[in-house]
Amino acid sequence: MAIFSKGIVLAQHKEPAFSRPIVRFVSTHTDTRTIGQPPVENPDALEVEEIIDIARAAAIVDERDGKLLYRKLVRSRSRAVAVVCDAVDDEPYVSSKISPLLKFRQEVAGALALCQRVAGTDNAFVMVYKMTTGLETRIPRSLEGYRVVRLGGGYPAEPHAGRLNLGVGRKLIVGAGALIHLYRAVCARKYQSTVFLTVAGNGISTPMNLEVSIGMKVSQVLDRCGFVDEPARVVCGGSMTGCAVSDLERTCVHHTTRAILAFQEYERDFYYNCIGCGRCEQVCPAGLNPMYIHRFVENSFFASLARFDAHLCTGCGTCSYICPSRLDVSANVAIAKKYAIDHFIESDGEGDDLED
Amino acid sequence: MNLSTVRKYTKKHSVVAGLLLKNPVVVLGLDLPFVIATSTSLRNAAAMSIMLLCIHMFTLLAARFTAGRMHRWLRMLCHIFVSTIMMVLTRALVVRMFHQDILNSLGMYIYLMGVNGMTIYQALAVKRKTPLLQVLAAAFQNVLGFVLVMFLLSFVRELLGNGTLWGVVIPLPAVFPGLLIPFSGFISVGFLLAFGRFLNKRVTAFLITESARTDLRYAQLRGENRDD
Amino acid sequence: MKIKSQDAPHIRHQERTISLMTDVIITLLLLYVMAFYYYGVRVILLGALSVATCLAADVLCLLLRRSRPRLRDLSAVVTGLLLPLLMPASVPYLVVATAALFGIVVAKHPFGGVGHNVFNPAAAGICFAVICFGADVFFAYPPTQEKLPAFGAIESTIVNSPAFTLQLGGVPQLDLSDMALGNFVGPMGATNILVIFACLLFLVFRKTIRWEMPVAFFVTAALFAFLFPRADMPRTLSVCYELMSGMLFFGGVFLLGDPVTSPKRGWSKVAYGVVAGIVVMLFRRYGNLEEEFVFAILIMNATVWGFDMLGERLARLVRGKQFESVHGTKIHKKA
Repeated sequence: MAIFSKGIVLAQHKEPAFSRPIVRFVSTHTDTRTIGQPPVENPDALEVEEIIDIARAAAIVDERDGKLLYRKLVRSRSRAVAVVCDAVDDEPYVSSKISPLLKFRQEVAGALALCQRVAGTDNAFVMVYKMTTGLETRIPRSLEGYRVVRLGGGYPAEPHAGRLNLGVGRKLIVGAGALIHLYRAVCARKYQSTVFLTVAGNGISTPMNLEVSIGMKVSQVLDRCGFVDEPARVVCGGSMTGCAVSDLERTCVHHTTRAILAFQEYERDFYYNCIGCGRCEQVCPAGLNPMYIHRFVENSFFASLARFDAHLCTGCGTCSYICPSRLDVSANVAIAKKYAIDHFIESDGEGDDLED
Repeated sequence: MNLSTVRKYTKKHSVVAGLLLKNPVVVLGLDLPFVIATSTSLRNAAAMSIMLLCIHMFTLLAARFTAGRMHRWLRMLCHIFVSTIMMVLTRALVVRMFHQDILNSLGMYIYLMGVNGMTIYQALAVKRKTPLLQVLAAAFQNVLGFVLVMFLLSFVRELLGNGTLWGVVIPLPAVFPGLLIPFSGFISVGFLLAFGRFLNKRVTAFLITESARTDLRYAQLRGENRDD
Repeated sequence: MKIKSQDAPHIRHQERTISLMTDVIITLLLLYVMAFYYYGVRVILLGALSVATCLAADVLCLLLRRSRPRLRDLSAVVTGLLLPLLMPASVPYLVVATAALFGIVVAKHPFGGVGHNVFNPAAAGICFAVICFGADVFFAYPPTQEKLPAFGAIESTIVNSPAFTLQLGGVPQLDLSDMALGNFVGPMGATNILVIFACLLFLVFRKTIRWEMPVAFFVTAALFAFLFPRADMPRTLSVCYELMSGMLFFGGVFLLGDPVTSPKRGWSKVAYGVVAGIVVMLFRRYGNLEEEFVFAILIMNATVWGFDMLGERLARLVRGKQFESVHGTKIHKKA
């Protein structure tokens, strides 16, 4: 049940990547690209339109949701109640937002100020995930004058903890990486050509955070970090929500890649039936019943799915994580979600870029 | 599917259709309460079969004569009238053939036979111009289907549930009286229905493979002719 | 490099189905040890026969259904271990074999097999055995501390259990501490109340059984016993006797708490536990046999779908309200 559940507590495995310095692994060809606007000496003197122009020219994509940053800024003009820097890394192994946040504090602070001016609000803060025991670096309580809100609880951190901590009203939420690129675009005229990602997993010999050129091959990035042994699985994205990669030579890094993980063991070597234990229903943060949705999808009873509200699924993957029979419950719920959105929900045009 | 093959096999099967593929109890689901509740001993099965035989044949005979001559509801009333009279007569016959105790073990089902679903359903389906012999043959097939199922179930339930067959005690290592209550009747009919479905599937699969083989044979023959 | 792919998430919890089942098996084996202490080696043989029959029936049914026998999920072993614990130690081997066969072949596989069965196979097997072999075989308990012979006819005296006394409207003359330690007659596994309580705590902390169900059930049964004692005795004594006699405590932990045949949501479980408590106590009061817990369980199992769907409706309302409070608009629904 969503009201009382605090998510599942996952072992985070963020070290040693988290505390190591961020290594630049860029292609000089793309790294030296600049935008057409003239360089800016005083970022505080910029007009709102100029900030948005720079964001558009630098083609900055927010790694949080894959949307173009300038569009989010346009929609939030004088409407947002608060500006939030999203540095929540609640998936195990991944630290690609909080690490740059701590290493490039000035850039983040400067960019937050710019966004505040666009949104026309005084309220701005930084959001991090607190449940990171075993970290060697301390997460500070305030960053360059901005309050750091620490979300507690289990994974996933945002849905239920966010509701309690952040207050009411529509907010502009931007990822830490996008803010750093915005500041660089404003001050050094840099086009966004890199993305911050974590390379980790028990198959990697040197886990670290990297700043990688967009378009670089996954195999090149992995070679930079080195393998312990031949990995059995490579994942592009978070450990709970990412995609498995089978062709390393032809998969490239893009704007929303947050991590590349390599694991040595392959765990799906047996197949059990659903035993009806109901653990998936217990942990679902959205309060759905993944067990019945999974069963209905397996038996193709799509028409009866309306009562289960599958369109509310947030895609966190906790149902599959906890399943003792190792079933692909979240994959089936995703199928049901697509069906529900197509058939059961009235759509009212494009979604809003602002969030609550 | 090769239709001529299907037709050939369906024609072969139609002689025994009432017993297997179109068994009224197992495939069509008619007269289930009688099978569930009274198939607890072979004597019961025999009594019910005799009753159904007489009631069903005479009612379908009457149905052949009333077909097309009167309104549907009036027809049904006529059929029920005929079957109830037959039921009373046959009941007396059964009591004379078996002991009076048979009435206790059959309970109300002996009276319900007068309005049993199979008879009423089949009687309304009889058409006006059908040859009389065909009607009677179909009726007989249906009764045989019912008899088959009743005797099969009664045999199993009496032997394992009571340790007797037709009242004769058979020495068995174990006896399970739980098989005699209607709850077990439901379960045994359920298993029988599953077996019936399985048989149907096998026959259909057989028809498909046979017709495919016939097609192949014809194609080969035509191929050879063309070579000549 | 040969790389395999799978769907997200890419890390999984360590717990597997097999560990769920082994938890239950451990607790049941502990009860077998206690029964062995009271009744001798016959207990072990009954358990072994039951497990062997269940496994064989499971394999046979899976082959009939044209799927590979997957015995690693150990559900047949759990059913096999549960069955003899609900019967007296002097029960003939045939009774156990019948119950096992019926439970697996009729109550489990025709309804879908592991994880999909509607009725608890152990409860169904016991029901069939009671109907077949009658109360004389089933509720005739040998006295404790008397080691029974492994084979052959049992010639020990038969003692009436407290459940029988309660049914007649009498007051069992037993010391409560004796009852808690299991030193009284009853079904083999159902008399060691303290041990069963420890098993309940173990299973709840390991999250095999969720706490809502047994708590709701026992509280309701206790309340019913408190308000309507079956004989002329102090109310608290009535609560103790009712909860500790017969199969109620054992069944409330192992049969009622079985996650497959119970509703899935928390509040559905509570409602189910309450209704089950009332139904079981009514069966005890007005039934013919001295212990009718298994029949009540089967009736409740048939209503699980209803409880689940009511729970889903309530959950839908709650989600709607939460969505409104956070976003300020209603969840979009097609008209």
